[in-house]
Amino acid sequence: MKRYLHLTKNTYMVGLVWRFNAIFTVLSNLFYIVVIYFLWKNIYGSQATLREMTFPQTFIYLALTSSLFVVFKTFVDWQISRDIISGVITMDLIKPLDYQVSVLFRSAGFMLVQLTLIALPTLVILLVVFHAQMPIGINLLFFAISLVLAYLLSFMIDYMVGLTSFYTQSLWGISTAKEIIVLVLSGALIPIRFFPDALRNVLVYLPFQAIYNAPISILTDPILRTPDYLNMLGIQLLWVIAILVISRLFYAQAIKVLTIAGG
Amino acid sequence: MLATLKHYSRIYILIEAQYIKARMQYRADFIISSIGMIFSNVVSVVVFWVLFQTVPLLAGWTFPEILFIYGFYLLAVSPAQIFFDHIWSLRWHLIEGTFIKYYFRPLNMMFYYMSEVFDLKGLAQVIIGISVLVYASIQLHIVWSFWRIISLLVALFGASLVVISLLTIASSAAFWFMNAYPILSLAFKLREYSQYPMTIFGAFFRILFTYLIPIGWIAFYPSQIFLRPSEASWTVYLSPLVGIALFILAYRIWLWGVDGYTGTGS
Repeated sequence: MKRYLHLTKNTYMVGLVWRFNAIFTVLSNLFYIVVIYFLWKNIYGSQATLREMTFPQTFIYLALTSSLFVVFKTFVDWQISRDIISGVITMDLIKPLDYQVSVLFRSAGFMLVQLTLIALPTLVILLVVFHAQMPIGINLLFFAISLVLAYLLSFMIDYMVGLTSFYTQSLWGISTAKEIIVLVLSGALIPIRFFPDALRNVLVYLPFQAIYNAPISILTDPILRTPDYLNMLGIQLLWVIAILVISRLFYAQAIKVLTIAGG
Repeated sequence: MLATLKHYSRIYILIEAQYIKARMQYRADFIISSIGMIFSNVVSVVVFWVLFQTVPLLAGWTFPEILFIYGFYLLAVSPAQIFFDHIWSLRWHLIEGTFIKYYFRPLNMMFYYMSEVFDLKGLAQVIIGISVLVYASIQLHIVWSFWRIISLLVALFGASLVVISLLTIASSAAFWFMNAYPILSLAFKLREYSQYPMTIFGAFFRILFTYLIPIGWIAFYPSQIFLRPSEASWTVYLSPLVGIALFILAYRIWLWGVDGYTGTGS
């Protein structure tokens, strides 16, 4: 465990070097938040609630999911793909460490950088400028657990996308398609309650809502109670286990086709 | 002037023919990238569709009208995607010093630099853009007379110059800051917000998106000419001029950067 934590620490230090990038990422996210603010303000018009959600609720939900998206985007898929294509991956394979776990702990370092440099300033601006409100109580504890599970899910999906580079070196298309499927089906672009009923009944059974909808709903939805939280965490945990098994099997298959040109 | 244009067109076709031949070795990459492109273009249609399940109008605009603006947007961003995709590598060429090579050809440098990449997956975007525009036009009963098609092409020309100019200015920041990736990616994100009606914004952001970061001219203002011409202000007819003026500015900034670049010494 300690060996892996060093990986996290190292990438955290490296990540802090990119402070200049962080300013622009915060700015970019704030522009997005401004756009969804005005967009949804117009959608609500004079109506107090739509689909049992008030405007402030919908706004804070979307603002937080977009921030979480930025935090979770650690470019794991691009890193793995680059390592496979350049052959650097062999350096990881000869180490007495599990490959997936090493990549996870490295990605976690970068994720923590984004959490401190991007998510926290954004959260402060949301609270001060937009007067965002959220229930404070036991939900914070459940939110923390849910966040970890959501990150694991997001990581494992990116990890599998990266592994496709064993077969094809066309990552841009696969990564873009993955990103969009996850964003739409997880309720990150539009809250899941706004989808037509038939579609929504399907979405709640897919793994994607466990990435953004579950943690942000636990944080912001005042209707939910402890049994709801436990139910959502249970679904998240089931998906983490299922995707973990799938990603291990995929790796076992993919590694067989690896050929590195000399070196 | 005409002779120069002919000369450059010939060279461009020669360069791209070679480029496409080389890219076609990676046919799977082309197909997968095009699928990724189609996904990223169709997502907005899905989002708008879901929104319009709940509300009939968005800031006074109907679903087909919003789709028309979106189709216009897709076509307006395509030339930048297809012909100017090399801007994303500018920072690498500057940092590693390989940009020096572009000084040694008897060709316009911006032309020569941009001609090195022809983004094939952008063609998928054009197809989606045309499909969305045609679908929206049928829903809106827009009759495409000869003159209306000509004005659409002129409006698209101006709008695509706005996109090209914004991205060129953002990537030219690399001449001064080296790692300009965050600036370019911010400009790229801002470009996406031009698919929304500018009337949704409050006064501050409307002024910002009209005059300072003029993304309003990418899709919303020029599409007024076709959507509700009787309600549109006369200024929307100036959109081609906005594009040309911005491109002149962007080209000046690019030249300024090119003149000041000293290479890496290697």
